[in-house]
Amino acid sequence: MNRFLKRLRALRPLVLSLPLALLAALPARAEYMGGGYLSDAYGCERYGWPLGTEMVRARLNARQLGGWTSELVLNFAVGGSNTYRFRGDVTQAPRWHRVEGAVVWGRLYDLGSRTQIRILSVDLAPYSGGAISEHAPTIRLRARIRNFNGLQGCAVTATLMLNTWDQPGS
Amino acid sequence: MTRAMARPGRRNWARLASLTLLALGCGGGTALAETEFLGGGFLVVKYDSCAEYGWTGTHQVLARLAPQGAPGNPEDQTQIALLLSTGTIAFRYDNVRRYRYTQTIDEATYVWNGPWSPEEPTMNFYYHYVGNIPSADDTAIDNLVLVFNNFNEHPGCQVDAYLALRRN
Repeated sequence: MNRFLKRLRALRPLVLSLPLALLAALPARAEYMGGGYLSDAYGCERYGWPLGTEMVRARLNARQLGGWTSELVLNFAVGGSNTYRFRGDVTQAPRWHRVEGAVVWGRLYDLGSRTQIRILSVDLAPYSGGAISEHAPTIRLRARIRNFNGLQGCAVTATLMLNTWDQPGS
Repeated sequence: MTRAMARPGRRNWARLASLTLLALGCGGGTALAETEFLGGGFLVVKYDSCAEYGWTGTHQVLARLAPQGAPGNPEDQTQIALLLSTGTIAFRYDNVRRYRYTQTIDEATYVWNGPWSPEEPTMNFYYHYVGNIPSADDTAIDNLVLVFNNFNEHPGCQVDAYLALRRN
């Protein structure tokens, strides 16, 4: 038994270094940050919010730049935030992505399973068109969100100006 | 959250009501019925030109814009407020609707600690030739790129503001 434990102890540095090695093997992800607004609210009247134009700050990780999911975080100017995680690229497409995520308003809620996101457009701002890549530091993103904020039947469009902050040359 | 919001109990309605009040309070920042655009984007320092003043990289920003000539607004003064995470920059200028024309800022107030309004602001900017120029009859200004010089009154500090805004 003692001999077995000694062998196990000898393996400890390897066990510790394995997760670190895996972490280092992950590609560096470019994170976009910026802000914009929410508009075109539909079906949200009964909740009282959002109704008009809402200012937001935002962060975005695009799946195509490394990782298994895309992630969008919206921080509302009035307080509170939503996170959206979906298995799809941040690319203009007619499909709706199922979203997992969280809602914070005073406390933390699960977003539920009914929220969906659709990428309406991606532009390499200030120009029109283009696609997210390692060489696209600045983008304008438009996305439609169903069951926004976990509110059943409430849909909004987010229009966001975003810039990579953690990539050389950005 | 979905379930909670789908069938709101009393507590949820209370929260939604307070949210609505909050939203109304934030929207009601202006005394007159002026035409205002709300949105945000980012500021990015160019050529590391502001490092000596402590400014580097990208900054999230919220923004308000009241274009001249729109209902309730002055005829000869456009107002922009840049709401940064830790301070605010607000300024007025007479909008010359030309690309790459240096817009003269008539009044600027910087709120980092106490409002400071210089006699003659040295900060100026021009519109990026691909982006929008605000006008009174816009619905959305989704591609507004302001190319600043002497940003925040720092000599030689060059910052670009990329903004997307929509009429409130």
